[in-house]
Amino acid sequence: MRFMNLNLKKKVKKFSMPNLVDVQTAPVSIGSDTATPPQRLKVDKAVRRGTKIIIDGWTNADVDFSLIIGVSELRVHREASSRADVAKHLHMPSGDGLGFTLTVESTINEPLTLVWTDLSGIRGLSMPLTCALEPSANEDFAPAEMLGNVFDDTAVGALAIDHSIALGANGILIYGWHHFRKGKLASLQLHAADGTILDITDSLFPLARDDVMRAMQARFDDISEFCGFIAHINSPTNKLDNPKLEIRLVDGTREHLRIPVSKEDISGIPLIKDLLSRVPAAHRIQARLFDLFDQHLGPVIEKISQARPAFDGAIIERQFGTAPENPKISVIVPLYGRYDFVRYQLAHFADDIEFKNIDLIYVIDDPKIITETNELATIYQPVFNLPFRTLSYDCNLGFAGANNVGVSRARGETIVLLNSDVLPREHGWVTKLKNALDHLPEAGMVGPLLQFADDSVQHAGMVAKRDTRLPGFILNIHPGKGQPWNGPDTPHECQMLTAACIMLEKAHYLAAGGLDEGYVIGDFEDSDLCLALRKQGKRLWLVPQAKLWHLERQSQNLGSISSYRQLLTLFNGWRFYRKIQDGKIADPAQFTKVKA
Amino acid sequence: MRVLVFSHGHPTFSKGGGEYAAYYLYKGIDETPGHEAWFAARGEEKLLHLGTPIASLNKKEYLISGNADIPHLTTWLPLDDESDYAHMLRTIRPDVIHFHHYVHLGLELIRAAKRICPNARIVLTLHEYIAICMNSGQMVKTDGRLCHQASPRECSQCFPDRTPETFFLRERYIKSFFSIVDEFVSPSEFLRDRYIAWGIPAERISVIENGLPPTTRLAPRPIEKGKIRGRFAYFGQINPFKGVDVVLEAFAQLPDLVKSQISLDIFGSGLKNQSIEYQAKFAALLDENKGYIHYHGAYEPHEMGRIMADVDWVLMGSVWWENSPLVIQEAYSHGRPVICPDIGGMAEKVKNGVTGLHYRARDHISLASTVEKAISEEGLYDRLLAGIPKASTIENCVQAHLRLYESVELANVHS
Repeated sequence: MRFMNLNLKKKVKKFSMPNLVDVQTAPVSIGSDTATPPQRLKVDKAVRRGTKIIIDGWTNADVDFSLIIGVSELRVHREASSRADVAKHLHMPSGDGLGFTLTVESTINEPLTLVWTDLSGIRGLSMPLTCALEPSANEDFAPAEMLGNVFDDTAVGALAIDHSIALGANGILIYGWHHFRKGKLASLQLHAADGTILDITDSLFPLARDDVMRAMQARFDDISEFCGFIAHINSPTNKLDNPKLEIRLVDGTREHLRIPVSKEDISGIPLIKDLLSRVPAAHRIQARLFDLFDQHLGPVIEKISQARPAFDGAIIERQFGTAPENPKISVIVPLYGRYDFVRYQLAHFADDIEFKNIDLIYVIDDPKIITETNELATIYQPVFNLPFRTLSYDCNLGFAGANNVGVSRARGETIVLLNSDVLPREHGWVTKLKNALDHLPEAGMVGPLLQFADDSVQHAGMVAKRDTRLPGFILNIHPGKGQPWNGPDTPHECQMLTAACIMLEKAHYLAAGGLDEGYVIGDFEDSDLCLALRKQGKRLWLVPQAKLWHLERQSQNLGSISSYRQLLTLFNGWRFYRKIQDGKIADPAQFTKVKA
Repeated sequence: MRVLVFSHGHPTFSKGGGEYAAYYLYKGIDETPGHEAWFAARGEEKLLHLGTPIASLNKKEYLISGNADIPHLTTWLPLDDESDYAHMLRTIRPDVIHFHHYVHLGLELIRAAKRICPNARIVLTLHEYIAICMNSGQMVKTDGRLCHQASPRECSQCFPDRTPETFFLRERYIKSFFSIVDEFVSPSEFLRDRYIAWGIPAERISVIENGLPPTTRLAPRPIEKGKIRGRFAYFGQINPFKGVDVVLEAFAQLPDLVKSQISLDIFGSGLKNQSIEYQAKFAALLDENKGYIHYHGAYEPHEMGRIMADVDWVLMGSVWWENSPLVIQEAYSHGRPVICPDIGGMAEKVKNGVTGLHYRARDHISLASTVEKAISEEGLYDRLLAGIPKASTIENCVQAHLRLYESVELANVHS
């Protein structure tokens, strides 16, 4: 590419200053008005694609093209094409050669003027072309993706709206990035669909956008990684609305951008998943995640979660073996994904005489495995010769919901909540727990020692802990996890217990409202139940005489937050903390000093 | 006493040492006055009838469907009280149900048998290390090293796509069935020790050597004065576990002077099932040493006497522990000393310098020098011949089992 750096003003002075012509709205006449057919020019499309400028159009005049960008005039590469439609319009026999595509490489972000020069050297100039931004095919250059939602002026700054989600009465979530040079931006105003205008300048929560920074730092040397933003604005918005963002600059200029509202029709957990998945590089804002939930995402997710229709579907119950006559204890095991654990559990319950009179309930909380689970139950029930039931329904309620369904059908007055990957080390464990529940002071809930396959501690009581890596949140930790169990085996009081295996009275469970299904998909609902019982003055006891294995599945590592699932856990953590703050459940710090 | 013997295969259709041992036991008990026995062996689907998993070959022998693989050892055979399995057990009314294996059959048969016949004693024979090791029960790591003790973490190193929990669950599941077994039988002390280390209480495992049909002990091969005892034979499957390649490599290393005075005869089938590389290696070693190494292919048990008559030494090459290899008992019953690796059940059954010779397992150089010693050491052969014990007969084995059955008290259910 050769540049011709011309001083336009000087050059143009030699001729009379041509009128600037709008070539984009309609075909315009150029050259002699008397020529037949009349000489016309039209630009159909002008786009910037990465560093490339592409101009499509047509003309029947014999002219050369060039482009003026800022103060430079650039030669263009021209490719001719046939335009039968134009030929017809102009009553010409053939459209060959009428169409053109002009391309030029330029990184200069200044207005474009199309220049045409006829055989006699007479030049015509267009008005500055309206130039769209198009995503570049071979660059993962996120900002350019936003057709028409971008403000970009090297002298002032840039702002792009990547995505937005209309939440009806719950407002709107806007995702994007921005960077303004110092002293240029006055304010950002949201023009809602109903005409109200809200100043949202201070409502943007900074997010990490390393991609934007890398793409823009050649032009904005002071741009930071945290140029991304998310904003929850309490302005009722529907999917069909067309809200706008107005950029008010200090010099009085006003730019309007379209806020592209997602038309995707999702709600409930898919919507929560969607909005969390769009938070980029959460690990880069780890220290501010609590604020992200507290100020923007928490209340929104809570509302979406609450709007989920309550489960009222049919529960299909199947009895395997002969049901015990008058069981005192119900053991409730939710199943999700894996159902083969049923076989292992039955093998371990089989010779435990207590299970002859226990109401064992498998709650199939996964429509995909209903057939397989019942088939497995049919095959193995005669082998292990234990009575049990399966409950199934056509949805996934999550850990809390599945247990609540199980408890609602439980026949025993005492219930055991048990994970499917928990296996007893020895017989008689249910009675050990029951004796403890009946006799320990104010016992509201008891739980056994849980051990990994290598006999190290998986759970010997749960403690709330503030984590300096995630300031604001209270997380649950298992003290001594992974280390040898050194006793003593005498019962001791615990701040909280894991619901992988707990025993409590059904009446107490129901009085506490069961497991709180507001924890989306599941985390913290067991600590929530513990603190709900605590609030009623009950005490929680670890009973290490009862020992079970817990093959805890790959659990989430919050050390590196990289997926929506981890963000969802943090939402639940935020919610847990809010419930404590609001006094809905007891403050664990009351019972043991919360470890710093 | 009414005894039902389960086997993972019927020797008519699957000729393995374990299948023969189970069958001989059944036959032996059934022929013992005052006792009666039945045999139920896992059979392939095509050998069975449509619509029932059980097919009787005659009034005493059954085939039963099963496809319990080594990783899971589980069967989906119907086992309820109305099942064909329950019908068979109720018909036989056994006092003793002896699982001579559970692979292919499925562990669940054990628990269902206990339920259907609550007064029957449950006896289980341990063969290789299938309960302990998922690598074909060999206790050889998947990278070829010998394994001394399994654990969920170590096993998951052998099978990288499986988690330690998989192996823990497998072990727990197997043990939940072993806990209702009244008595275990192991054909070797070595295997018994491995299972004790794994968790079976020592007092519940008895050692009973497998028995062979009665055989006449052969005189030593007649040789001319001054000639050496240089005829070696290998009997067994041709596969990497049996280490026939170790044997071939050892012989290829021998000095030419030695090669000219000895021979190695290989009897066994299975070569075609091996990898192309293994077959090529085998063929190349045979070709390079064709003057004194001969490969004869498969043989039938009844040919053993004739073959043994022309042999001085029986050789083993196994690269895994083995349990109680039948070939050692066969060599003894024919009066032939054994040269074998110094590990596991082989080292137990062959006393070095007394009933045979040991070499360092998996080491062909050690085997080569042991072969040189065998042909050159004055008086060694006669000394070993004198040391060879009487082989266990089916009769011994049956009597030992009957004594065991009678001594077994119904075990309490163990946790």
